Amino acid sequence: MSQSEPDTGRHRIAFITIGQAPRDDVAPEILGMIERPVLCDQYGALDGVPAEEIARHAPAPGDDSLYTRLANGEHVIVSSSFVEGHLEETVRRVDEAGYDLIAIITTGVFRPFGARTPLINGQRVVDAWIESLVMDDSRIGIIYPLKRQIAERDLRGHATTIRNPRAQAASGESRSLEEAAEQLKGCDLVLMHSVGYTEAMAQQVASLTMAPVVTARRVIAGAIRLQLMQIDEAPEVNPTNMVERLPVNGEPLTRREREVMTLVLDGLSNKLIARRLGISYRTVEIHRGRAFGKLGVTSAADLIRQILLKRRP
Amino acid sequence: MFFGDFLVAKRTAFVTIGQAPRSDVTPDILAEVRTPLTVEEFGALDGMDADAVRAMAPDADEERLVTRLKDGTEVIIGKKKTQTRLQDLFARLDKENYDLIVLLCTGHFEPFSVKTPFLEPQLVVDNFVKGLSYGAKTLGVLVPNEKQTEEFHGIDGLDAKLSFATPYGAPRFTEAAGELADTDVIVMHCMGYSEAMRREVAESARRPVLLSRRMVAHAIDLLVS
Repeated sequence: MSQSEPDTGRHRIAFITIGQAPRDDVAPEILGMIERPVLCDQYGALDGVPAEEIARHAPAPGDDSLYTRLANGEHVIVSSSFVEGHLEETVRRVDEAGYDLIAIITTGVFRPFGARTPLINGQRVVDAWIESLVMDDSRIGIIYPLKRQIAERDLRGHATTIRNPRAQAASGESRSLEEAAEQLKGCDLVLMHSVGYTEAMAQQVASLTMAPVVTARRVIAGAIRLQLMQIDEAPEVNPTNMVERLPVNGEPLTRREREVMTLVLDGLSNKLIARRLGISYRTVEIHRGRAFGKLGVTSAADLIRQILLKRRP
Repeated sequence: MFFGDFLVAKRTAFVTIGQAPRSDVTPDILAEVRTPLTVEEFGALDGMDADAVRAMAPDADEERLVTRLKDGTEVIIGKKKTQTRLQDLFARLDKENYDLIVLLCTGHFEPFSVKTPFLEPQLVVDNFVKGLSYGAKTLGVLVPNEKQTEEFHGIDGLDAKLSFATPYGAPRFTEAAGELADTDVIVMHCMGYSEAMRREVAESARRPVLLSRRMVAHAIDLLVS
C-alpha cells in the first residue's frame, strides 16, 4: 500500500484495485474529480502475489476475465474468481483500518462485500448509473476493454441490467479508440466501462461520436462525492464530529487532543496514532490522558459508552 | 454508515415538501429499489388547512418550490419557509431511529441538520449528471415553474438551458421538449415527474432524458445495501 500524509481534518479513503497498488494511472485522476482534499491510501488485491502465481491464473474456458495492471506497469488478464478471493481478503483487512470510506476502483467485480466501513463497489455504482438513465428509447454505446468481456457480460445477464434493447457494445481492444467510436456512431450516449479509460480518451471518443461520454472514473468519483456528503450529513458516525460533540467539564480539548481522540474512536492503538500524527508514542499517551481527564472518562471503551449514552434520546 | 443485517427491511421515512402520502411518487421509487424497504411518509405541509397552506406562498424575494397536496392539487410555496418546516420535521424524525430519511424534492436547500442517514435528491441528481462531462456541452433542465428557470442553481461544469412544465397541472411537455431539443441530454429536475412524462419529453425532443426519481431510487440502493 502507499501511505498518505498524516492529517486528521480530512476524510480518509482507501482505494482498492483488483491489480497491484499504487494505480498512478487511475487514482490521481479520480481524486481530482472528488473536488475536495481527502487522504487516500491505495491497496491492491494482488499486492505481494508473485508474478508466477498470477500467470498461473489466466482465465480458464468458462471463467470471467478481469483486465488489470500490476505494479510494474504490465497489464494482465486474470480469472475473476482468483482475483475476487484476494479482493475479499483485502477488503476484510482494510475494513479494520478505520477508513471513512472504501472504494473498489474497478468495474467487473459483481459480488457484494460485507464491510462495516461504507463501501463503494465500482461495478455497482456504474450499474446504478446506467440503470437510472438508460431508457429504451435512447441508444447507449458501451466500450469495454476486452472483446471477450462483451460476451461474458451478456451471458451473466448484464445486458438485462442494461435494460435497453438498443444498447450496443464495442471493444477498446480494437487497435484504437477510433475503431470503437466508429462502431458506436449514432449512439445518444457512450459509456466507457472501465476505470482504465482516462478523461483524455473520453474527450477523444466524444469528439468522434459527437455523443456525451461517461467514464467509469467519473461515475465512481460521483459516488465517492455523494458518500462523503452523506458522511458529513450524518455527524454522529463521524469520529471528528463525535469528539466535538462530547461534553467537556471545564477546559476544552486542544486541537491535538481532539485529533488523538478522533483516532482513538477510529479504533487505532497508541502506536498507530503516533505514526499517523508523526509524534512520539509518549506524546500520544500524554494527550490521551489529558483528553480523557477533561472528558471525564477512564478508557476508550468508557469514551465510546459515553457517546452511545449521549446518542440515545 | 450502515450496520445493517442485509435481510432485514430498512426502515425509511420519505419526506415530501407537500402533503403525504405521495401516491404519485413513492410506488415508482419502490418499484426500482432492490433493497427491501419499509416506508413511512411525512410531509412538510401535513395537517395544514387551506389558509395555512396559503400562508406558505413565496414572499416577493423568496425562491419557490412546486409541490402537491394530498388531494393532488399543485401548490407553490416559499423555499425559506419550507426549509424551516422541513428542519422541524427532521428533528422529530431523528428521534424515531429510521435507517434512512429520503427527501422527495430535488430543490437546492441550505444544509439541513439531520442525525439519521439522509438522502438529499439534489445532491444525487447533480452528482449523476456531473458524470456526463464530455460531449454533453449543453444540458437541458426541466423544472416545474417558469420562475424557477431563473432560480436554478446550476450544475458545475455544464451549461444549462432551462424550460418548465409542471407535473401537477396543465401539461406543456411537448412545448418544453421543443425548447430543449437542441441540448445534449435533458434532466427532469423534480421528483414529481413520472416515467410517462419522461417518455413524452423524450419522444418530442428526441434526446436522452433523465428522471430524478429513478436516479434517487438507485442512489437509495447504493447507500443502504
